[in-house]
Amino acid sequence: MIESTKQSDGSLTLRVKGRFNFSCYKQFNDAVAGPPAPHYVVDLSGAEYMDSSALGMLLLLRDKVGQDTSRVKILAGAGQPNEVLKLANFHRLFSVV
Amino acid sequence: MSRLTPTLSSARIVWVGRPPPTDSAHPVVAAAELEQAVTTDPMAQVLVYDVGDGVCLEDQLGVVRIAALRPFTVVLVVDEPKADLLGMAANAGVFTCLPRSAPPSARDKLLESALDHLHAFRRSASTDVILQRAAALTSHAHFELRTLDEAEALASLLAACASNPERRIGGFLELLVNSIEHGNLEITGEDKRALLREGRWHREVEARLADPKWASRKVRVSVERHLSGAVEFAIEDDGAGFDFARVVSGGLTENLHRHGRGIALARLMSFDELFFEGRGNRVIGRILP
Repeated sequence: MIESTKQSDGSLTLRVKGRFNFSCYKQFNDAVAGPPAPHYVVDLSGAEYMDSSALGMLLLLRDKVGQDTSRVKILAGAGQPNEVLKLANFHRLFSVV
Repeated sequence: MSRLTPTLSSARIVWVGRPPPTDSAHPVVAAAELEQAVTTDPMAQVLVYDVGDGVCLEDQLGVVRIAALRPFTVVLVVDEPKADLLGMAANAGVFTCLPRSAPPSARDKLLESALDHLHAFRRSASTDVILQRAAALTSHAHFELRTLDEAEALASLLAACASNPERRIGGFLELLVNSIEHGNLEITGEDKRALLREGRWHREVEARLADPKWASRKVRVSVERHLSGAVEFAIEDDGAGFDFARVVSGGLTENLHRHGRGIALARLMSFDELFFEGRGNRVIGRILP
């Protein structure tokens, strides 16, 4: 499940809870539809699992901001999602904290 | 015969904080401190946390959160079951809240449901452990599947045939789902992205599984444990295959950033060796001892 919150400066926070997989695709797509926000925060601290579809969603977001690493921050949390981000070297593509 | 006084070692319900009720239908013992209950009583099944006034709720929940990591159910006694309090308690791993004013019959029913909940959890946990231990004994095995639900179930069993199953499940699931959707059901990567965007992916998979054109297609999986201790998995579908040389020729990181992310992730997460055979409809994964 994905909850999105728009900040006063137009930035968007996406909180992922539970399984971050293909079932989140429509929610994710709906949340990031429209003109790009100045910054995005993807909070995975509540995610239990992520699959290759989830990596694809993050890459779509990166494309949306013109591959500007500083505009997408991923809060990696712990466990499997964090391990997948490390394996995929996503810290090279995003600001992963 | 004198009535035995329950002790912590035989108790099913430990009541921490205030004195426990004397009219409970279930054996209840008192523990002054949470630490006493969680460290000295291996038989504790339900922990009722009933603290006195003046204790910060946040602190209570913090302690309960630590307690809830142990295999018992936590019930929090509250003066008033307000919505925000119930939400915070649920986030802290509390099974349910017991209003202090609840009549004895309602209290006993709630404690009964807390005991049942834990029994169900323990049965489930012990079944998982037994299945994992049994799967680790596999020397040869064959499976056939068609659906995504079956893929999810089988991924867990296949992963349990090797070490660190929790870490490996995702990779098995990626390969099995690939075989079903891209192999047997001929859904291309572009089709899938469009279907996912429109929220129609799952329905399309179900529709194709029921369509006579694809209904008889299966995915076959075999497991072979070698004398060396290495475990080899072969996953084969009835599809037309794909140009696997194009997908797997790049570095792992490069693949993660374009097509074949599922395959790349499977290689990274689940296998020591992964390669395709035939027309690309058969993938072999090896886990070395």
